[in-house]
Amino acid sequence: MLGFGGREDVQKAEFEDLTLRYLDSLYGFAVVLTGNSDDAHDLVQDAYLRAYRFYHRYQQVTNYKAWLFTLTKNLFINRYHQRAREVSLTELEVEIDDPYESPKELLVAAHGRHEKGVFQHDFRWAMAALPEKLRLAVLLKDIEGFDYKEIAEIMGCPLGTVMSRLSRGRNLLKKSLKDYWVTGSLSEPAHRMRKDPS
Amino acid sequence: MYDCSSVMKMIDPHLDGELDVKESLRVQTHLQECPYCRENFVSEHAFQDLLRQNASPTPAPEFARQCLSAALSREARRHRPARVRWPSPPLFAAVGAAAALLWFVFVGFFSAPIPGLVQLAVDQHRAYLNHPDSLDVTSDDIRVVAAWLKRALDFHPGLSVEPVANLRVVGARALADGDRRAAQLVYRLGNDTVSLLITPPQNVRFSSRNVIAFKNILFHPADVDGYHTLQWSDNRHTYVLVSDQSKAVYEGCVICHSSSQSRDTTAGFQEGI
Repeated sequence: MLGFGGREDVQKAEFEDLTLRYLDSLYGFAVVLTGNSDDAHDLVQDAYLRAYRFYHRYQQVTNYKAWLFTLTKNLFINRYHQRAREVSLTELEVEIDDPYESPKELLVAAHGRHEKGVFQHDFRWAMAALPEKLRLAVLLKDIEGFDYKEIAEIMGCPLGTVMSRLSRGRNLLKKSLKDYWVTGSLSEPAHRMRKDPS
Repeated sequence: MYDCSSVMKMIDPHLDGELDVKESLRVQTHLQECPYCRENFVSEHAFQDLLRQNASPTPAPEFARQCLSAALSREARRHRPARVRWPSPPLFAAVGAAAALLWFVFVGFFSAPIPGLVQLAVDQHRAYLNHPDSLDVTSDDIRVVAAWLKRALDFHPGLSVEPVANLRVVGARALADGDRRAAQLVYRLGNDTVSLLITPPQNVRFSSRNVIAFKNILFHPADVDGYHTLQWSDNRHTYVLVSDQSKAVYEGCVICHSSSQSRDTTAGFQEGI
């Protein structure tokens, strides 16, 4: 039988204890980066294996969650060059001054949706309809709870870009949800959301 | 003093706790004095609370979790000083010579020595029976097992992913020793447990006396340590089936010949076994 044991098993158990709790988060991040679950699966597994090899040698990481996200993003850039360019995580952006979207009406409508238990579902669809860069910013802040500086390091972009993407992402999210909940519009972007649940 | 336009742009960073103390106090002062901005601030606060309470990451599928766990196990094993008990060439020769001598003394000239690969397959089969939790990947979905093996090994085991009646995959283990790679798959066939060892056909020995020729393939049945085994090679791999039931060894052939047509054509082979 293959009954081995020792230091490697202890290290593996420690590593899993420190990092596997972030698997769901990392998988969600990878789905946004790669755009499909198969590549996300490969990317996350490669990131974990690389992290394990690093951990095996150094063990000097303090913020494992941010480290894993940065490692995953870098791996994505290196491995999926073409698609990484398409997502273009670091390119300069044209600032669009979107009109401010107040959430007041949205909150009233959300109350009813929340009671019906469909809010989470609607939110996922609305997130999926956001452009990748904006979706990543909202995901890293509002779902994963990173601060601006950590997001800037993970995304490899300036702090101001993070703030801009976050603001625009939230604004678009509010607009999409309001279009769907308040006006019942399934045109744009709500219609696209219903068709494309990625 | 900030105006409304400036404050509206700072509401998000303020709620996110990203402003320094000085900026934060200025925003708060404006909010106390401006009902319009205060109302928006309260709404934005409520919206962000709603998002954070209800948003959750897309959960990783169980398949991804299983594959990752198995990959980490394999990676950890890569760092271990000892490896699978696959006889090294000198040891292999010594064991073979000793086995041949014992065979000669106790059995006679009429049986061939046990090939190392068959012994390995039997050892791994017995190891699984004694420690059912020792597999690297466990799943009753052959696609999960096949995908995992494809990642874990340097060769493609070429498994059929079509479901087969009465045959249920239990899981698999990747075996490694230096450049050698092998996959051990475990199946349940009715009440029997069947192991299938698959390895690239390099440096594989066969027992020479017991041979069944069928469809241009030579099959080598042997009884080893009370288990029934069947070894053969095609142009891609060498295989060893192990079971404690000879019937199960034959029926295990449906692993590779799962179509009804193939089952018909293997009827003659059953008689040979």
